[in-house]
Amino acid sequence: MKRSADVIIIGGGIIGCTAAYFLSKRIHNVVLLERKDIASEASGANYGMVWEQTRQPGYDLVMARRSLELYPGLVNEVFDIDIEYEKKGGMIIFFTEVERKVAQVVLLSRQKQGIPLQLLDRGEARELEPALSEETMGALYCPDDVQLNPMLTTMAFARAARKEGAEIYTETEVHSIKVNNQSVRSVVTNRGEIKTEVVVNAAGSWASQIGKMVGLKIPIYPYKLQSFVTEQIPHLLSRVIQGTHIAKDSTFEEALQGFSYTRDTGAGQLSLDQEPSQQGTLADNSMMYCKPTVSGNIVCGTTFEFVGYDRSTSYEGLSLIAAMAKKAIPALKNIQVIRSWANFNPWTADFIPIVGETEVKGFIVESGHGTAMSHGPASCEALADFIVDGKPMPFGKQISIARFQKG
Amino acid sequence: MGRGAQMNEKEDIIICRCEEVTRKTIENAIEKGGDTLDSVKRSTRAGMGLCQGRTCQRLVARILRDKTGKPLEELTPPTFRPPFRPIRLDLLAQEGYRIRGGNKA
Repeated sequence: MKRSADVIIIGGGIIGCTAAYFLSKRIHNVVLLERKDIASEASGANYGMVWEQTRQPGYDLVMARRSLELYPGLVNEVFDIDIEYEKKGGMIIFFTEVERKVAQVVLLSRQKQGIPLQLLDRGEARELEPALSEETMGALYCPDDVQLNPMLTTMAFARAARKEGAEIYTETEVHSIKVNNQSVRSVVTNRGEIKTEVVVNAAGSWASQIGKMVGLKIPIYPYKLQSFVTEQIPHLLSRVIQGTHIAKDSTFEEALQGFSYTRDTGAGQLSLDQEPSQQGTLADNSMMYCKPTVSGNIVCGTTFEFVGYDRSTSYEGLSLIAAMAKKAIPALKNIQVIRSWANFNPWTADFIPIVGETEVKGFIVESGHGTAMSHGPASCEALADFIVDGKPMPFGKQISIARFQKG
Repeated sequence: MGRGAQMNEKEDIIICRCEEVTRKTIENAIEKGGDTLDSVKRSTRAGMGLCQGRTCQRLVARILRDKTGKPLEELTPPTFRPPFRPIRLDLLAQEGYRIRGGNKA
């Protein structure tokens, strides 16, 4: 193992591996530390949606758009494995009159932002996806939305980073970070100590634990998503289908959240001490996703649960997902479910990641992306420009940890 | 496959029947640095099929032992997750209908 590095990245998920790639293109001596294996957590277990239609104006939408610009070049010229990148369009289906009204509101606001969103009626939706239930009232459809295999994408970035000279150490756990004069000095792992002046905390849902090592409180918390996968049934679906709160009949507000990812951000001051709390039932906190994988299995989800780092799946949760999936795609009812799992996504109080340098010199956070497959390439391209050239990051204030007030 | 007679018995033998992963594919994955059951699974799909590795896992473990010298006891199996046998989605959904308030939509 190396004894010193120009930059040490902590975390081998999509953000860490993407950062390793963009940084090692610019500078030598980039090291990435991962306590398990590449894409062992959320980056190996999510739906691989790089969608424009659900991104919010500002940082979120700008990053997603830039990533959608970057991916084709990476796929064609950089990656040496197939990441199953497909521009199939993204579809959000709905079943009720309330949801249809919300869909129209969302359609107009998204079109104003230049997103080529379309409102499909039942016939149009079922023409694109014949397996959809006859009860489907319609769908929002964005032809520019992309799906990919998140695990292979993360591995592809790791391989590309290695080719550029990055050293990637898996099964290497960070035990502590040495700080002197409020500046990063070294990182201590189970395999030895590496000197560095720059650390990138890309630990995602575990970013707060890395923060503690330098005495910082990082208000990122994990939320659990349960999913299961079916046996292979090729060609049943062509694209990722998202539902609204299919587990129950949504109110206007709930449907709006479901369609557009808008959430009440509290409007007031963000506090470093603000912790998430579970509101409502499991049915209130679930949303339907069905993703056809290239191998023909269908991945179904999901719940949103604040339960710390408990990664168990529950009969209640999986059953709810099965009920939602069957309502959307009745043909699934006779298909076998073969495996379930849970993974963690990072949560922040305003649903915006925490990115940038902190009061500890050289300690940079790049975590809290709830949609890291969409943000990763763009955000880490900007991160490399910041670390190498000192170029300010776009939306720097909006994404800085400084937006959280000390208690 | 119907071409068994032409297959190189050692290299083309199918280890994971669900996903049709050959011994050669698994050995290549190990040579590229995948030295755990989980990494072999993730890079080759061996054990990701209908039986979830219940048939092939011990075979993969033995190939790993032979290639890496790691004793079998040190090869931790990938996490097993429910369901323990494949279950029809409709059956799994029963409780979900109850949660929705008996709405069997």
